[in-house]
Amino acid sequence: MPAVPTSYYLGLSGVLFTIGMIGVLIKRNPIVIFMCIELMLNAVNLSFIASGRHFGHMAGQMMVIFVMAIAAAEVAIGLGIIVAIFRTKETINIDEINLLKY
Amino acid sequence: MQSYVPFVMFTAIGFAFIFVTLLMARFVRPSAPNPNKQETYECGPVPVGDAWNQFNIHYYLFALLFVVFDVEAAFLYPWAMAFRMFGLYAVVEMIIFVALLGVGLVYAWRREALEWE
Amino acid sequence: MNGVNISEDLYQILPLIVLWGAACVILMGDVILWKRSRGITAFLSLASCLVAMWLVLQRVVSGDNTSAFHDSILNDPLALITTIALLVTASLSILLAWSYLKNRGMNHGEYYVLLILSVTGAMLMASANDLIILFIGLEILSFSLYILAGFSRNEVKSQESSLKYFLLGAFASAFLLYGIAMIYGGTGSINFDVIAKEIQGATAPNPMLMIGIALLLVGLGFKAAVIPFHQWTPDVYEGAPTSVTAYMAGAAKIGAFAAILRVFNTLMPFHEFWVPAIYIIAVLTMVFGNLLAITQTNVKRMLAYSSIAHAGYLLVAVVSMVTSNVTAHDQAIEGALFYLFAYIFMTIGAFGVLVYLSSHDKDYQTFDDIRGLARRHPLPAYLMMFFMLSLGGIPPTMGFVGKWLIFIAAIHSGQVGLAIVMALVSVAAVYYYLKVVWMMCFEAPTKAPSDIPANGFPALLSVTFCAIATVIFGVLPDLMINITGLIR
Repeated sequence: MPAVPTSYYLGLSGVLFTIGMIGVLIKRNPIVIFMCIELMLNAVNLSFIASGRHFGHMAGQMMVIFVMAIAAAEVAIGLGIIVAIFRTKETINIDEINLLKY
Repeated sequence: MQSYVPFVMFTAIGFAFIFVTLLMARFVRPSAPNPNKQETYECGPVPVGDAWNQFNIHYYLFALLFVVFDVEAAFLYPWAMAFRMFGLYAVVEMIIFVALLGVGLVYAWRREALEWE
Repeated sequence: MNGVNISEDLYQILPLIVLWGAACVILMGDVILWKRSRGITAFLSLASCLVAMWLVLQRVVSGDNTSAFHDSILNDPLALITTIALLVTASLSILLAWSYLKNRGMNHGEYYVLLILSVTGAMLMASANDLIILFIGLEILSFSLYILAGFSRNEVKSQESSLKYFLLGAFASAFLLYGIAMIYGGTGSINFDVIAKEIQGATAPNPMLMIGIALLLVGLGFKAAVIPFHQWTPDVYEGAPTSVTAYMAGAAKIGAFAAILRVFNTLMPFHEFWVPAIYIIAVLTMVFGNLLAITQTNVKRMLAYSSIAHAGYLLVAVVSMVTSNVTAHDQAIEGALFYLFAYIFMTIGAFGVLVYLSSHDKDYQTFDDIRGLARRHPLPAYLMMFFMLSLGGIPPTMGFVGKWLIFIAAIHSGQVGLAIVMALVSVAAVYYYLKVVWMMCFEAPTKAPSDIPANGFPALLSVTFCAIATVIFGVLPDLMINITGLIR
């Protein structure tokens, strides 16, 4: 059985990244935006692993672990900020969070 | 065939652990059944009804703390793989790493994030 | 494993270890030992920054610097000098926050711990010789800043700025990370030395690398707040507590530019690909940063746009780095480093005056607040005047010398067009800086004189230090050039 070529993985990762990016741009709920950002990070993870496999070294996989740790920290901070803003403002709709503008 | 012995042992110990724990709990705990306790357990919320109800904000705090220790495991695996190569250095390093997470836990505890009001 | 010399590796990151250790100890002490006396927390944080600075300075003097952790950390002069700038920023910000937090009702020990942690992130960025270390440093810096921006728990503005900063920042980091993945895919390594070797002799990047470089530029451009990745800057600078804004304006920019200088120095063989992009971004940033600053009516917002414009001047230095003339190349980096120092003293000073003036019930930030300030509070008003003149690039201040060095470097490396744009917009920028001076000195105050500001001695000390540095290094720039010249 022939192995799946690296370019397929990279293509998939590009598609996932784009879906995440579009999600960030069109969604209005910070939690959903946040999930889309996580999707982008995981798309990057896929391409790290694919490249690592292509070159045959561990660096790609190591990076994924670091990215996962950072993504987890990001979740903690993001949820914290969203909870805090919900407590003061009683809404998390991006369109209603608009005190600061030019 | 020989190589399956650890597997069988592992399975047996796994099952035994569950039964022993449940059995021990059965003898140790006081028995005071009430309707709330008889319900299916679903991490706190009412198990039947609309899934779109609002969760208590406290769950987020616990989720945040969980995330910290959840990822710790991801680092433990490569550490276990490279452990033989580095010896004492690796042990000390992991102790420091876990201690740093411990600092986070102590902080959460002292700031009363663990209390369920 | 061969080549793992643990004690040497640890020695190389000793300043970082000191700060990390201090952060843990201070956090634990703050919640367990000395509850409610933030003075100790602030003092210990300041002390740990000064100890770290002493260690770095010692290293600068002894000159014994090697790479550590399999070449993923490199303490070359560029890293050491930016580290000094970062620690100066952190120390000045700790002094600024001391009474401000108390008066504004957010006196939590976490502030100082987060500040120390974020400075370690920026230091990691400065000495990263590896894309993943760069990314981790950037994230440590950003995460702490996201929280600090929302530090005022009762102010919706602060919360809002924190959410905006967080969502856009995380979005930008995802781009940066994808860029790193693409560069890894294109060269097979994330180490700058290996990448440099790999692309030696090549003139055009392959498509994967091309995407990688572009995405890296987006991610770093966001952190450095250059147009068109600047939308978050004014909102976050305005919404965040002023002491945080002062720190953020300094540390995030130094970290981002340290990374930009190193990354694009590594990618030098592809300069035909990235120079046009940075050229356009630099022109846009300088022109629109200054134009948008003119229309503002809030000092914090105006300074935010001015900090965008200053990022544009720094990008001129990055473009001027590309030249076959070795002297001009070094001159450009030196100019950028000098400008970074000038920038932190002027910016922290200007925000610091606002911090100093803010009291329990009033956060100084609009033009109405500072109108006629010279009559009510002469000392802060005159200090503010120094910073405005320096930001406008009027001699004999540090801002002028910095602009001059970058201007000369641009001319020497043949970027005459860019140098002319820079000179023209700098002249236009003088208008809005002088407008602030005019308003403070010659317009009638809109309200009755209030009491002496309550933000006390530490903030004043910090601001005065900035003012003295701005003038001394403006009159005697050689003192600073001796330090920045170490990169040769």
